[in-house]
Amino acid sequence: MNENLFAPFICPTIMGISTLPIIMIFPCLIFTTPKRWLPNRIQMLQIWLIRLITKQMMTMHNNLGRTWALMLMTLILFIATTNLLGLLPYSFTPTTQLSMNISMAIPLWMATVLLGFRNKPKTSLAHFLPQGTPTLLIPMLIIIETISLFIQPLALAVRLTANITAGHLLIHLISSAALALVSINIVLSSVTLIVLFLLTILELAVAMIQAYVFTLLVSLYLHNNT
Amino acid sequence: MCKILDWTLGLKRIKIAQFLPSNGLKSMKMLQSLMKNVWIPMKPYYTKVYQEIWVGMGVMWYIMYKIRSADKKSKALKASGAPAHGHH
Repeated sequence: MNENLFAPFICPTIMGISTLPIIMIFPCLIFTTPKRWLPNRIQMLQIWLIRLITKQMMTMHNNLGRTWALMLMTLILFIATTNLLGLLPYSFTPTTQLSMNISMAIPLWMATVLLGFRNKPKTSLAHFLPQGTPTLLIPMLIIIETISLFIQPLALAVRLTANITAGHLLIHLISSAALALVSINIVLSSVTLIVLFLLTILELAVAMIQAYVFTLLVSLYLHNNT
Repeated sequence: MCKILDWTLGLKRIKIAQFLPSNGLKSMKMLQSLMKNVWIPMKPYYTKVYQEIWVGMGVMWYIMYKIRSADKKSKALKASGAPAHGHH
């Protein structure tokens, strides 16, 4: 039972070779490039969705921030599709791996910080001390702000990992409970199945929300530094 | 730009194709398609916009290297039977 509980979070291998790169590239197959002037329905839907998200995300940015539009849109689409594909039975979700989420969070966060120090060094340094701070609290607050800055990539990665992992674990547990209860009490099993159905709807929402939150926070860090 | 690239690669292809099997020609075509469709449109992003991201990626690779080497060292120490941390 314990071994089965963590089996979905082990990266699948074929003859000792990790299939993680293939799983990560797979969402690219869903988003096809339109070759014609008037694409088909699915492509039109994708284009409409991407334009909607781009407008939503990029409105608050200046010209320098908008150069990151491609990166941020790729990020949200990748995380959302990976999370949604992971809800399929017997599939593997790369975003349950902390290593992958940290690998996404650290370069992006560091890029925003370096961008801030490169383009607006005074403003970037000023972020370490909030306006109106009493003089006696200045040293302590600078330390606190520095720690909060360095915690940002860890928080980004751990938030995504924990939310997706917890959801998958819950689905696994409740489905196992529903299956075990079928032979014991059919009514209780039906109630558990209804709970499972509602949880799956919640997980669909969480999958998309977590992608949005991750990208929004990166966008916010970018906005603070540009 | 794409025409110059096509012409240059086309000439090189004729020279190289004499010595390469048909697989070589296909890989040249693939490389040409990659250059035309990926590198040329994305060049301003990779060279100018994403400079800080490359630095961030370098830092992340360094962190990964340090974690992996520490893991290898601790496994080697465990395998040799020595204590992982020295006794004072």
